[in-house]
Amino acid sequence: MPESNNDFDLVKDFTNGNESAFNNIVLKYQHKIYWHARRMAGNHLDADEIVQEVLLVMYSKLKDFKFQSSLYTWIYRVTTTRSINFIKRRRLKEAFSIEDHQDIAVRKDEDIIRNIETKEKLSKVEKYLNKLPPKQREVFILKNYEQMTYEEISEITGKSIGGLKSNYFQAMKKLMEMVKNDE
Amino acid sequence: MNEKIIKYFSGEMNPSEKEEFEKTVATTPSFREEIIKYGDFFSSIDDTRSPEVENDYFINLIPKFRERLEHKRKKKYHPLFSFASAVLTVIIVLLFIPHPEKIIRENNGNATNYSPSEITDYLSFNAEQPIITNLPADVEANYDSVLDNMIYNALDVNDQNIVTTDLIDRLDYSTLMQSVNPNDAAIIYEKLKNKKIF
Repeated sequence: MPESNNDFDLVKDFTNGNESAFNNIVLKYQHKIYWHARRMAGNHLDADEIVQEVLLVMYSKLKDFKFQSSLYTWIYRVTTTRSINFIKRRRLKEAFSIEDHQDIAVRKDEDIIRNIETKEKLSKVEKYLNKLPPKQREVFILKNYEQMTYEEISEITGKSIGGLKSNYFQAMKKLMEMVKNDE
Repeated sequence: MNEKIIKYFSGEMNPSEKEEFEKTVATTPSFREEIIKYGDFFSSIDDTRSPEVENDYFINLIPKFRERLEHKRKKKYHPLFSFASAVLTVIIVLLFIPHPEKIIRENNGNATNYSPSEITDYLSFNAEQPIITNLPADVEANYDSVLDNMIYNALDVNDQNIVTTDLIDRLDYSTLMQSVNPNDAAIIYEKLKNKKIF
């Protein structure tokens, strides 16, 4: 019998002890998780760390998942939360200079993108996005990369649409300022 | 103007607003330059929405996660096990350490069967107490036999159940000192020098 690719069935199978169902969930969502984490974190190594954390959370919490939202929304929520926490930890490390400068350089260099031109473009975008506060970055990414509506973003973040619009406006203003002043 | 630019790049303008905005851009060179910069930035976002990546990363993602999960499970059990072992060891050690005071009490003060080390423990435990007056007579006899024997001999006391402290007042020290040979004197001195005798 072919395995179901339906989220509900996959979660149910996993809850019943079928480990391969979890693998199928990961295979289905891994690109979305990675790229959301990547845009939030701004580099590959940190994104990889976040992805592993997200998978661990999914593995331990999926058994309690009641489908009050879609699995896709829940995974985005977990990834967003983990990414924001990761960014905060990283900022603390940087502020207290716990992190080696060499580590930071390695983090920037290591990547999985093949095309050099794309890599450069992404690196430039990441440089700007990294300067935004995490909450503004979050709404900007979900709106521009994932092309979500404010309603969808509100479901993921649990914030009011008014608050999201304000965050987005602030993010855009800062980005425009950065782009304008960048030579 | 900021609001208009944001609306334009967010795709929130209706066709007539968009047309009007683009006309303004076309007729104002300095503004056009600025808008081109923003345009480049947003086209970079479009170009990097789903870039081509090394497939190995996604192929290895699940095995890497499984390895990490296994490591986490092992790590989870280790500290608990170590902590439980440490607690158990401490409890066992505490249960089996003989408490000097308990030894004496349990045996109604009769310490004749106790080893010198047990008696030493007891004495260390009571180090702040006046030793002779505090000890049961038979314990004292056992731990300080050299001195006691000398006292008993000096006074010609045959009944060794008489407590030495009761005999001290009867001592003729000069006679006693004459009967002590230098080796015994050294032993007695070593025994006495750290004691509080009341």
